[in-house]
Amino acid sequence: MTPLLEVRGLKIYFASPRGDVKAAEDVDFHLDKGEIVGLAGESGSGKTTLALGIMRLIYRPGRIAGGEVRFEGTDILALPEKDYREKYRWSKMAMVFQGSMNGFTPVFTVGAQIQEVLRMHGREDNDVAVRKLLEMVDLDQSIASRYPHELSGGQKQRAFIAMALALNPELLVADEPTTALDVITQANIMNLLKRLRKEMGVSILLITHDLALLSEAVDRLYIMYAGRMVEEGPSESLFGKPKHPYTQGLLASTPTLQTKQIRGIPGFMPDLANQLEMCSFSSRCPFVKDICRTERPGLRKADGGEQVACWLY
Amino acid sequence: MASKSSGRSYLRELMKSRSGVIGLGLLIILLAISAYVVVALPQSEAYKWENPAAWQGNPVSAPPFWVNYFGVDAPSTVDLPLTGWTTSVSGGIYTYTAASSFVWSHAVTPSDFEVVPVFNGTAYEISIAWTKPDGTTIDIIKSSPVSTANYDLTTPSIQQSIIPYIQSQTGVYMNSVTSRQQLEALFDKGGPHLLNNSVEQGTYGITVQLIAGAPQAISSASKVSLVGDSYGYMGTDTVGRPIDLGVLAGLPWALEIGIISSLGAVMAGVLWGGLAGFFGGWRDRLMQWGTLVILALPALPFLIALSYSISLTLLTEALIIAALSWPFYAIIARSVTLSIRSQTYIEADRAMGISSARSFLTHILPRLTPVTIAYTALGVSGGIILGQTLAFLGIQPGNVITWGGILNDALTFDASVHGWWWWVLFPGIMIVVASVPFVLVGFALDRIVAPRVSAK
Amino acid sequence: MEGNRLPAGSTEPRGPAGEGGARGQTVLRIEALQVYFVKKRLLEKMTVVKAVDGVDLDLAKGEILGLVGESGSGKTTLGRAVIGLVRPTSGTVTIMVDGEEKDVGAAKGKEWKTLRTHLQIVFQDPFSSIDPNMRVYDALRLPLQANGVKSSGEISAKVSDVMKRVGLPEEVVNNYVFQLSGGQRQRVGIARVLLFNPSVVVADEPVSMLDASLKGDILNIIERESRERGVAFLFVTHDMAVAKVVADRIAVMYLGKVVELGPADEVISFPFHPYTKAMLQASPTIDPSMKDKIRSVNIVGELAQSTAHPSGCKFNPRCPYVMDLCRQKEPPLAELKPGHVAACWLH
Repeated sequence: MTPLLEVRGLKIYFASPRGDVKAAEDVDFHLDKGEIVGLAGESGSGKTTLALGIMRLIYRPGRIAGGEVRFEGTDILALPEKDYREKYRWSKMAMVFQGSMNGFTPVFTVGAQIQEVLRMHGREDNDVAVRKLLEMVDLDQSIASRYPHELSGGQKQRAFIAMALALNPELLVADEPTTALDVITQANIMNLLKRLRKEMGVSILLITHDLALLSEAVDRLYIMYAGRMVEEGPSESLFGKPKHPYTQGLLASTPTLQTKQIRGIPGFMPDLANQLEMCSFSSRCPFVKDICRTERPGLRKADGGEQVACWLY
Repeated sequence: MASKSSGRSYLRELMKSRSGVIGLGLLIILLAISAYVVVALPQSEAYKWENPAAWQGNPVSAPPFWVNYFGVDAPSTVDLPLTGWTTSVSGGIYTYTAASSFVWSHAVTPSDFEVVPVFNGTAYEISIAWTKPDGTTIDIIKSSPVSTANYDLTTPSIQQSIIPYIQSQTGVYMNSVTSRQQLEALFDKGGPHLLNNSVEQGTYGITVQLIAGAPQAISSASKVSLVGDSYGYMGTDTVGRPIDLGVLAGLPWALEIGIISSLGAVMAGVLWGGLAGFFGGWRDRLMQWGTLVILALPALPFLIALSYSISLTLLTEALIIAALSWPFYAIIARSVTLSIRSQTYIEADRAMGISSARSFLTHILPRLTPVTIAYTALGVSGGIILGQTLAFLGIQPGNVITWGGILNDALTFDASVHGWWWWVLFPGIMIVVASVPFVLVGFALDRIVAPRVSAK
Repeated sequence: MEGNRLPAGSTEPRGPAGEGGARGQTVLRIEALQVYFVKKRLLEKMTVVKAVDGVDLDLAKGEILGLVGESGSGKTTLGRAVIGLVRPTSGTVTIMVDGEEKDVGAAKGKEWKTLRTHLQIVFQDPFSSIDPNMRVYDALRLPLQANGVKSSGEISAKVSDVMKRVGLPEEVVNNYVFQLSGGQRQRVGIARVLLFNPSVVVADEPVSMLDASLKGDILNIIERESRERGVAFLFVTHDMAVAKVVADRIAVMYLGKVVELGPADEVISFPFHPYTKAMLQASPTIDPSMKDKIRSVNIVGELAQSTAHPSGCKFNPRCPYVMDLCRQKEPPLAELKPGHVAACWLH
């Protein structure tokens, strides 16, 4: 079965006075219809850049320097901008950003803004359509006539999700959808996303640095570090037995109600403009060997149906 | 991500932008010329400017010499030195004779003709004979007594001599003749159509004879001057003052007024606005009120009024211009300050017991500096223009040559009506030319500074 | 029901007990603190935001008290009031300095300034709480000079000392702050605070803007300072899990009031207040088995935007167990177990 979204060898570079900053390098991943797939990483890992790349939202000084992004088999990177905008962006793939609640303009009501999206794509833009969308995200109809500043953070985020679902897309890319929200609202939004997948069949790419959040929602996930994938696999085996030392370190740094103590990971991420032929994590890895410093490990199979980029396997 | 701002890094970035480089280059040229002017043209030149007598020998209202290249026939002044004085003595009478000849190949006559014998003492008589190319000789003058003097077409005895000649040629007796008619008489083809403006080209001769009762030492500075119709690189005004000299002499003052007033306005404005933004509360409101009041004042009338109540020097004029220009910068500085003030590090300072004065100096002032520099450069052009505007209206310190002043004279003497374009064009263009480098540098700096004008 | 207020130290602090002498001695006391923000514009109705609406809290020497709540709960304002950056509308904040009690809320001018060396705050955003355009050395020097340390020898000695305590190599003092990463900057922020060996430090969400791999180090620094030097921390956070890692006691705030307070492990394992329970229910753990399940949170609706507080128990509009009594009278903080109080009519 063709995956809904398939990314192969994607490279996204940013021009800088020091040379190209390789924000994403040789990234492969895929997402099947009906899946919730996670993408985890910290700041600088390239996860947000990747999401923007898939949505063709990379602007100067960034550029897509190579690779392909196939949606239902079609390479959407090769499409002319007009075609992509009319046929794919928002209608087949929509994105919810981190500060999405600020994605509404304060001078129009929420309902009016959702209507505008519908109208611009030639769909029915009457009140009924808006009400149905708001229902989908558990918002009362009265929200449609309110202005963004009258809503709470959680309500705004849901309203934005409603706007993202307006054209019934098949893929929803959610980049840190709950970061600025309190923990109760966060749980509600996560429940909402899970319900959307179950009831509407929306496939979701969930991007966040919060591993606990991911663990409770995704079928499979990818771990990114310094612009590359370092581990990927089904959620049970990855969380049950994390293989890459970075994944292990990340899990040990994630506080939950179960943890007694958390550690950090010493050291720094390498300079993305100056990538040497070695494992990007070697300077911080507790299990580093000589080969790690001279050759870069590619993704290789490990147990549990996973792939890891590490010389230990 | 902020980067360290230092003078050197600004210079480097300035050199990267094309307008910055051009602006900087022009600026250096202007400053070099200005320095030269200050050094080479002493103050006495300014006094000379006000004294019409100093410009006697120049053609008046004459276009620049290079109009000749564009098909306009405007001969330059030709000076014929009177040397080779022969002396003959007989019976206590000393006769000195000198002769000179020249070729005239223009289709127009000179604008004036001057004989200047230079010597000590007195002579009984001077006579000047004029020989035309066709051989006819006219006795122009026989006059006494003589000491060093200029004899030109306004001298009555010359006029008297030419009137009979005209009559002899045309048959018309004229009671008085204009300079133009005299020149026609001397230069035109002979005959009944003498005053028809058909200049005879060829070799002319002049013989000057001085008769004295005692020996005279005649200086080699003696000359005959055929005052032309064009002069200098930028022409002359009605008094014969060369415009190029005026333009050059006006440069230092123009730049000084611009730079000093801009520096004063920007420094005062930025400090005012920065403090207003930093204080907040009633102090801010009060200072804002002051800013807006001055901003609302019509600058020119107030400048005119102020300038009448104080004695005008370079410094005081720059000061009053600054006093009316600073609000613009205060407003900008205040908004920059407000955005910095909302940053947490200001609150952190307070939490640590650091005084607000120190907070201001550490965080806000350094961030205002780049804005200050950029706007100082841009502000200079305003200062230059304002200074020249006032000069045009007659308001300027005494004994200073200004472009505005030159333009004022041009207006007084109806230069545009008479078609004396050089009198208006060159001073006018200089005002623009002097401003352009500052504007270029200012914009280039502004573009460099703009992304940094934030709290980060 | 006696004992709305617990004497500090009546709970068992985590870590080696009885260390460093007078452990358990109260170093900060907050009594009936109210902080209201009044906005009165011409021709408009007056709006009052009751950020902190009656809070009693004690902090013991060397204790880390986790103050947990969502945005709008008043936790940030409480922290600011403890430091003295915000004036209390009523109530007192008292700090023990050299055996004497000093009123922080009433301090003005010179007195307020001298308190700076005892009360300090670490801010949330390391990118804006330290001027990026300064050298690290100057960021540490200026507060020292402002508080009477003049000689350059003394300054450089203190700088050396705090850099070591936060685990930064000494050469870093010559760098500019903008050259440092977020985690490093936050360490500088803590170093800045430790310069004076304060007795009370308010840490306002110190790790919420840091990546996961950096949180641990900062939390460890905080723990070590409290254990070794007896610094008392008021650790403000919205994340219960972070509070669990580092706090001895946890206080849960809702709409300006403390609704539950007790030893960290207890509050998390046996919460009394429905709000606390809801927050704990909502917190995710590493649990792949949850992916097909809904995480049920026993709470009604979301925190509204309005500034008006409901009458009676402030939580009543969202409480799943609400009774009539809850809408009429506000429940007091009652000691339901030794050292563990909650404000709820259910108990």
